[in-house]
Amino acid sequence: MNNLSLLTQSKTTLFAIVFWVTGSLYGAFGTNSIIQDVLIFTLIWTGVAISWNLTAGYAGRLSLGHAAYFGIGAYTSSILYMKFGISPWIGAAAGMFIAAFVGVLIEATTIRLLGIYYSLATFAIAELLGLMARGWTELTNGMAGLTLPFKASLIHMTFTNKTGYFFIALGFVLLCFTTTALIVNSRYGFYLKAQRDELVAAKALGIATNQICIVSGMISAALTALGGTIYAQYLLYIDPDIGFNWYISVQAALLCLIGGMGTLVGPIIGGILLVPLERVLHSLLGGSYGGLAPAIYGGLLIMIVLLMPKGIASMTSKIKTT
Amino acid sequence: MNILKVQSISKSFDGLQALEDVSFYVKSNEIVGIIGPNGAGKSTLFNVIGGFTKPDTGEIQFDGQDITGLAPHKIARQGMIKTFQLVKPFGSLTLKQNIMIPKLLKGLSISDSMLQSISILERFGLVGMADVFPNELPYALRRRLEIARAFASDPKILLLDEALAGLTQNELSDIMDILKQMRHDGITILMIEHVMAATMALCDRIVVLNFGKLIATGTPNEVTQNPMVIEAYLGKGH
Repeated sequence: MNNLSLLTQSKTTLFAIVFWVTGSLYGAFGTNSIIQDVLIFTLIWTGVAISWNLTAGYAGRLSLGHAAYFGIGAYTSSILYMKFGISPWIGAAAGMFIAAFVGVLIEATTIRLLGIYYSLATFAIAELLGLMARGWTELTNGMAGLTLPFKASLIHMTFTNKTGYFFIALGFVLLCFTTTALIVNSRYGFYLKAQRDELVAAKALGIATNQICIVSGMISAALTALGGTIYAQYLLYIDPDIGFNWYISVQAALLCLIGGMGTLVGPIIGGILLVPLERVLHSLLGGSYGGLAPAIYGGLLIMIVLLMPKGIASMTSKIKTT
Repeated sequence: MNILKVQSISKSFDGLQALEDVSFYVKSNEIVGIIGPNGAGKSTLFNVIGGFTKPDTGEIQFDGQDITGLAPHKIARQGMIKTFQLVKPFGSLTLKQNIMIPKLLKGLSISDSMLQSISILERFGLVGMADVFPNELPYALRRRLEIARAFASDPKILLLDEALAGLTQNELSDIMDILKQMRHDGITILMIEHVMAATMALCDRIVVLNFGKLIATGTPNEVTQNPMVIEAYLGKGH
């Protein structure tokens, strides 16, 4: 990497940091709970997008089934809490563990599927788990969902105001970011990118491509599940339509596509821009003109993709170098 | 000593016999060429040797060990490195990073890999382009990058699939010099080639395939005078 692109990359990072600091200050000390609400959602979806980016952006496996891991995380902690009174913190760890296990199973069975076939397979598996959550009522209470008790304390990951949730969501994003950054900057980051670019050439040089894809999928799954637990604790409610909604998978992909796939700042930029935008449009126009908010949102997405096919992160460096 | 022994390899795809009972050997530090008309089974043979295709019958011995059916990355780690007919650089990595991959696989740290990568780029005349991405290179230099990356693995044997195809006379002699130098450093080379003049000049021995069968082996001179080879290339009556 030459100095110039390093410089512009650090400028993009700076831009992201400025947003973050202002957001964090508001999240910590602000009093407007609507803005705090937007910030918390932004953080949770950014974290999920960063996790998705590890396997999709860097390993090149475009999963459309990350809702599966999100739902597993949300349901594991909620069920353990409701049935056995186990703290959501331990439930979160259990959810991550189960999601990691399921992630390995899914990746290992689909390892030979490439491109759209892999995407469709993961999409179908996530839908299947959603159907399970609907049908297995003894465990999940079916479509009625699980309403978590409100017992405000740190141990129960439940708070009277939004500041507590904000910090947990912030910690979640930092964990996802640090994990991804450590992997990407290690030798395994090189291997992931190499096999993404040219799978056969990577094998021919001696990269154990299957193993590194399975491991990156496993880590991505575990992190996504943590996001699910935090989300369920924030809403104090979970049902199959929330936990296993296919839109979770699509949104993770969307934030990365818009921000820049396979870059560290990409999902953060995507999250900062899109989540608040969608929320603001929805609250401004949602009541009076039902279909207008998604129409404008969709139109903006199309514009961004047309103008910056490689995402916003690639754009900032392009402007500088030309 | 035979570094590579191919014994009675057969492979068919949906009834089409791509390889039929092919046996040959490569001695340590030899340059051996595989030639044959289009569809003779050369690339299939390479894929079988490199572990990308499993043979129906037969055995591949590399450095005294049976490697038949082993995964490609495991074969690569034993020191057999294959390059591709269509060059396959890692597009999102710079030249330097492309060369770093095999060094990292050897267990070197990232900073050590970077240093060694620079010295390999130097050797292959690419050092000025260390931070350039492969798609910015002209075709001939991408070919050179492909060989440089294989060389960076410190292979015992290199499998070159048409490494000389599509080059001008000057580019050709550059790469031929590089290959000669590599052999001088103790690397064994097995190459599929269509560029006859280069093959004849470089190779110690040549293996000729036609319709999946081995029809001749020998020195370049022996092979070109073999009537079966002449018939395979030019048809009957010559």
